[in-house]
Amino acid sequence: MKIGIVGFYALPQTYDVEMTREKSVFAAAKGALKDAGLEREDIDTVVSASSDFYDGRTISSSMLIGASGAYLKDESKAEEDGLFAVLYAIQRLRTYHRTALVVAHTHSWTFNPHKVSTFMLDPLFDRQNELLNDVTLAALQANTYMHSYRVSEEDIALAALKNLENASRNPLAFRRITGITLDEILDSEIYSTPIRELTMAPCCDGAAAVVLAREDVIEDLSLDAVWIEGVGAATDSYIRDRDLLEMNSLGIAAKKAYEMSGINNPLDEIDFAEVNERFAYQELMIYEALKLCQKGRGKYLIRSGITERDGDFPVNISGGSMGGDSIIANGLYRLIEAAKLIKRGFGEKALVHSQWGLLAQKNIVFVLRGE
Amino acid sequence: MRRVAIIGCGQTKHGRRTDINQAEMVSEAVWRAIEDAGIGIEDVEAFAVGNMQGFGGIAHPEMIFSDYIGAFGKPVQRVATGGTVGGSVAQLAYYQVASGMFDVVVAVAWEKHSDSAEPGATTGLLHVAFANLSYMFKKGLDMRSFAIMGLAGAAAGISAYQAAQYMAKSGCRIDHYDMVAAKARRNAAKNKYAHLKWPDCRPEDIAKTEMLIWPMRFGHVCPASDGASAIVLASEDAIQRLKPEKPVAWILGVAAYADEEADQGESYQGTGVLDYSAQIGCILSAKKAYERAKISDPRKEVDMAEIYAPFPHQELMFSEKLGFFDEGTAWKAVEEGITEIDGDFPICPSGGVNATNAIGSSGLQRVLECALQIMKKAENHQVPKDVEVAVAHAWGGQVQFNTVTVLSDKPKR
Amino acid sequence: MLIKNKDMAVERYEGFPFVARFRWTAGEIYEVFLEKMKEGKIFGARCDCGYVVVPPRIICPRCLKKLDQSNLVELPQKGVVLSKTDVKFKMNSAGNFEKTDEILVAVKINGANSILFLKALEPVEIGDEVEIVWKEEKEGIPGDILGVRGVKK
Repeated sequence: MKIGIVGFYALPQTYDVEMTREKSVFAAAKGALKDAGLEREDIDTVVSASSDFYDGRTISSSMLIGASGAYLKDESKAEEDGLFAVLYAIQRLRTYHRTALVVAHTHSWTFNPHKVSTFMLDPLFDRQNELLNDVTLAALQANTYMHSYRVSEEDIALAALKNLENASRNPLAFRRITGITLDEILDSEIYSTPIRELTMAPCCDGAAAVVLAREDVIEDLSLDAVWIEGVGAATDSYIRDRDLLEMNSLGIAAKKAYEMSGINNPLDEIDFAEVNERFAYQELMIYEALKLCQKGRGKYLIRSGITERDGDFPVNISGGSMGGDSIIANGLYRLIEAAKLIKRGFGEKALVHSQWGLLAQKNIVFVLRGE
Repeated sequence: MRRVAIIGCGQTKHGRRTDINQAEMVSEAVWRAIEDAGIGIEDVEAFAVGNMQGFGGIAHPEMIFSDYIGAFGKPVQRVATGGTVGGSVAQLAYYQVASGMFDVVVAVAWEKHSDSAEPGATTGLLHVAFANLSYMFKKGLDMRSFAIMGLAGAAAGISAYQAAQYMAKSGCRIDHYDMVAAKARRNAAKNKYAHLKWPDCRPEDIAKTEMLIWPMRFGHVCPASDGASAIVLASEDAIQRLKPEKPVAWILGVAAYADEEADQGESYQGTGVLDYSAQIGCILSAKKAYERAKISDPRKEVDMAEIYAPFPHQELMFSEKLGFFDEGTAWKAVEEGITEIDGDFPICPSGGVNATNAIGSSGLQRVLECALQIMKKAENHQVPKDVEVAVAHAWGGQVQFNTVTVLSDKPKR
Repeated sequence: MLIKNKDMAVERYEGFPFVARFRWTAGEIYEVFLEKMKEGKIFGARCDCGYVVVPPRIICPRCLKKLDQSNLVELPQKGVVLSKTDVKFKMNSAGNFEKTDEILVAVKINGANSILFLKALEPVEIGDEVEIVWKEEKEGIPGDILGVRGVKK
């Protein structure tokens, strides 16, 4: 039973303390329904995505039932990146339900997301190290990666440059710097060597929603669909017992998604990708885990220009997370950007990725296909 | 759509568990469930997890625990829906298998209240009260009034109104709440994993306790327990492959309808629910779950129920919404002993949430306990009658989320 | 107005009628780890499969076999720097950024497979051998380890 994306809507990413979660979620949900040409009555199930810690409220979905369109509907939620809510929605669609609405949000102004990342650390040992957080952990991974594979700061900055240039053209992005240069990136403020202001994603507010449906409904109602061909997800070990040089769980997730969609050679058979690179160096490691190139050779893909917007395998035409990281909603933004490009005829098959947890401990990959 | 059954159950002893840390507690339940199912960790393809992180103080804790439960390399999906999170986790696991995506999954839900330095469930509840209602400071509410309002008990407060509303509509007396609470503690005494055990508890013992906020006595309130429970779910084919002879508990139907939140939010969304005892979400969930399970007359076709009732009035209220008794008459059944362990329609033979409340675990325990009863593995609290169909229920959030799961000893009716 | 409560290391706001703290249970095997820390020793747990996890825990992260106190092994206090970073910022309890200038390292302790994230008390390079530096007065808490410094050749 094939599942398709029949509607979507994403709010422009922002940083607005006057905007409530309820208003954002409502706007996203309504927008997606309108885009699909459906009414609330046509939706069988709603899966929302929000995080109690990032929202600063226990049961973060409890005040969003009305706003997400879930009133008196069979609903549930995913408490991690919105793409996991899409995964859950697919599981629901393959059983009782025929249509699903998925809506995700985080307002980063509520609580500094980097502070929240410290609450993911083991409270008995790691959390008591005041220097440890998602940024400094990323810095450690970046440094060992750079050291082991002779990757330079410039290689990483080139990935950031590509994405920031792309973001400057994306009306939904949060950080749009027209005329951004490599020097600006390499001069930007250091948070923790080698992580700089312009080589890490800026946390912002975002809310996005997608409407999914089974193929029989899509046929009956003659809806336009972007098909979900394959999905894969996997979790890695906790940071102390992992190989920092590899995005192990992403490799496993991608393999599953490729198998499900019958892909043997991703670089050839997929047209472009939208990935969640919370830190620019991660994009290089993501290329390797996705088997677009060998381990340690992500820098060559960047240097060659293959992943530029006019290259053979564009990655993050939307600007990726360098353009804005709305935490829980991040994955949905990647999905929506990819779906938009497919509908515009930019390519036929796309790969969508998102991560969750310290050093991307969890990863999820989708393969999309146009009609 | 594939048929799914529970093939193994595992629980930790619930109570105040300052002998093990959170990770160890979760792994204890998971490994017990895997052992009970008679499978190996290599057979498990995915995990469904959940707890209310604000109470345990770790954000997205399953990532620290992934090595303890053998989850590395596998997909882990997380839910958090307040009190019903355990029920939501069980249903997520059901969908994981029923959808055809995985053949064997483990669902685990837990709570470790003792990791919070404040008494009871205060820390997590403050998250709800303070965070969800802090916008009132913008409107001019002062800190002192807020503290009085918030600390009257974010969850207990609404439930007290609910208890009063049920009493007014049904004509029951506070004695009936005492009876239900006493039954819970008596049953819990037979359950080796339960928290508040009181073998000869009588309604009079409950009636002697202090009145907290009418009509809720101290003896009515559930404890804040530590504990984890886990179940292993498998598809029909996997069961053939893994354990063809042992009894299993089939899941016939699930539903989870949500109502509006009980308080008006900061964007004035919703009208605010006027009658907390109406529980339309539960009525709809039950109706849909029965439809999917092909049950047309719950009173005749269901043998017992595990109802999520941290406060005794909720056992009465929900047993009506779930269709086991006519509106406003459940309290009569309690008087006649119908809902006792050896009664015609046992409710919460495990002692229920009133005797053991580790939030995450509680919702899952309801499903787990129904499975144990069907498989005749409930030991000392096994109901004497044959259990062919059991219903597990849980509520959560601002008395608005519901999960209803129908289980049976056969894969279809 | 901020009143710092030294005993609980919690910033208490005057006028706030409540505070919500956490106090995590350590578990038996981790308690032993902390007791040994008080003596200035680092213990890990060695599994039959060869994996040595530090701090010790009840399950082997590689093969998932159960471990207990009989698996405890004392580890040498030296290790190798896998990675380092010069940290320029910290966050206070409210999540506000503050400037700092400290070094954080990822260390593979000799004889163990796990990585420990610790402060470096002096500049070090990837591949350097380092040793653990202890506080004078140890209490049996992770803070007893001040950090690491390079081993003099």
